[in-house]
Amino acid sequence: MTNSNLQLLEIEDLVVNYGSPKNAVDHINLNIAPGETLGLVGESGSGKSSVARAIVGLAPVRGCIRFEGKILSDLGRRELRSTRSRLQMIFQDPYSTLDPRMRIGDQIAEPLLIHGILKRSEVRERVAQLLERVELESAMASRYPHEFSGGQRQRIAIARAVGLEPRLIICDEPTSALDVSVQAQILKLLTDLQHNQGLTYLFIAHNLAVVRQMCHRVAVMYLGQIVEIGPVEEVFDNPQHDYTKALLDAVLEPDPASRHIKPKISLNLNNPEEIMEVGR
Amino acid sequence: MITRLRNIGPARWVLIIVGLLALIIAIWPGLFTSNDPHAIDSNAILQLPSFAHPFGTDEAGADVLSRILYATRLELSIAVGSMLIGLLIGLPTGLIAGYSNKFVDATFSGMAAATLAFPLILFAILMVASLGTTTISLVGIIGFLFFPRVFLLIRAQTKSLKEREFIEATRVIGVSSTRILFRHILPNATGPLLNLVPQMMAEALLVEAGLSYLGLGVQLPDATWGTILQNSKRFYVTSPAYAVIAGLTITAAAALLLWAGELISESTNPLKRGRRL
Repeated sequence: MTNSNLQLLEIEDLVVNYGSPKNAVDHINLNIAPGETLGLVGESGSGKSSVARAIVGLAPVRGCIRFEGKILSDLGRRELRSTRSRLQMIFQDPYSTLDPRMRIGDQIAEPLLIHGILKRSEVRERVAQLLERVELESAMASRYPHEFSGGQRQRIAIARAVGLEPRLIICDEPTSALDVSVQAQILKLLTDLQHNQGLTYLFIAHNLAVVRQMCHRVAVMYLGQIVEIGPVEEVFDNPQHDYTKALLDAVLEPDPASRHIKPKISLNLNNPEEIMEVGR
Repeated sequence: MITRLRNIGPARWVLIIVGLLALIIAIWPGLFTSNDPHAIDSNAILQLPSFAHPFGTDEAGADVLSRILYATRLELSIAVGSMLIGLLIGLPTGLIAGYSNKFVDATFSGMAAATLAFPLILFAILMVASLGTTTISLVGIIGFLFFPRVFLLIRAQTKSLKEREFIEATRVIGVSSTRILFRHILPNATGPLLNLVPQMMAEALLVEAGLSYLGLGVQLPDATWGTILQNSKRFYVTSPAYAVIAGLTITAAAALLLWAGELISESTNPLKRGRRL
């Protein structure tokens, strides 16, 4: 770990286990440098979301998570809270991440107030400013979540997350519940925010096209392990692991004429461990 | 506002008007009768309903209608009071049990199950017999007996809500558990309580009447519909109208409250919304 101070987030030997004999996340290592976007791909149940939940403290963790050079599990309650404020998450389903009984202005203001960043009198203005930053109208602050569309709700969730001026935002499939045109807008918003605020993203997705567009590096997860990690172009154009090949192969070609030319790679899914062994 | 008023169906209007009327009767019973509920008239004992006495007279010659009207205030206080006590105990314990670890949950749930295991009226008799028959103890006992229902409802709501993504999202922001419970879970958990509230009030009326009938309810000089019913029981044979009127009053009040609960649960249930009553 010679370049330890260069990394924003370092994960060493992370294990997440919910009580079953198999680990949901099985001894993974991962680094994210400031300003970069690391994609995390893999099929459902591969453990991508568990990694995200472990980082923000929603899942039981073994191993070491270092953020800004500090080991999270060693921090006292106070310090952990202030450290976590610079580490935010955007969830998959914008329809369920907002409190249905609270005005969205209050929900955006809540983190600002409880972390004591702003005085009550300054909050209104800040909420308006945040809403404008995610391209919503500041007058919408007094409305309730059900009055918004899915894309708008995801913008509200983003406004709430960036309000704390975080350094790292974990995006857990932030666009998979949205339709394609809205997806593009949200992705553009995330990219713009990254440029303007120097944000770092851990971007979890199963849409490989989105990952290719958004990410600098990509890690492929399978059965709780990272089977391949590297720059996006390298992994996508020259996959090393069989699972990565199969995953890329499963993507439909946009041009129907070029479909079915490559021979399909089939994995023996009844024996997933075998793929892990021979794949390397 | 006007369109919202228009959306209230006729059945709801009836209940709203009856409810307001009951409230006015409780506050100013004298507006609705010129008879004194305590006036003794040895010439008019156990009379059938007549123009002067619409509900007849009792064994002392007092007007039954005015006795019922004047008893409304205490009756309503008992119903509202015991309902509030049920909420006061059930809400916080339900929230805590639903949100806490297994041990805390098991402790509170055990207490609720133990309370629920007793037949309501039997438990009330036991408690009244040991605590004495003051109105305050009556309200307290009935209220305590209501706590498991509020508790179970709120606990179940809390348990399902705390797994919801928006609660996890607030946790990631750094919101404390206390704030999550009272600012996020409580407002989202109270919807189903709306129909439990009139139900509890109805049951309070019935339990109070049952206890009064056994002589364990409020004591003289206070009077409730239950004590009027108790007075009437000695005259079943000679003047049945007296007992029937006292009994019908209690039944009607309880039925209206249960009906109100039913209508509220219909309007809060999205599957039944749109069906106007």
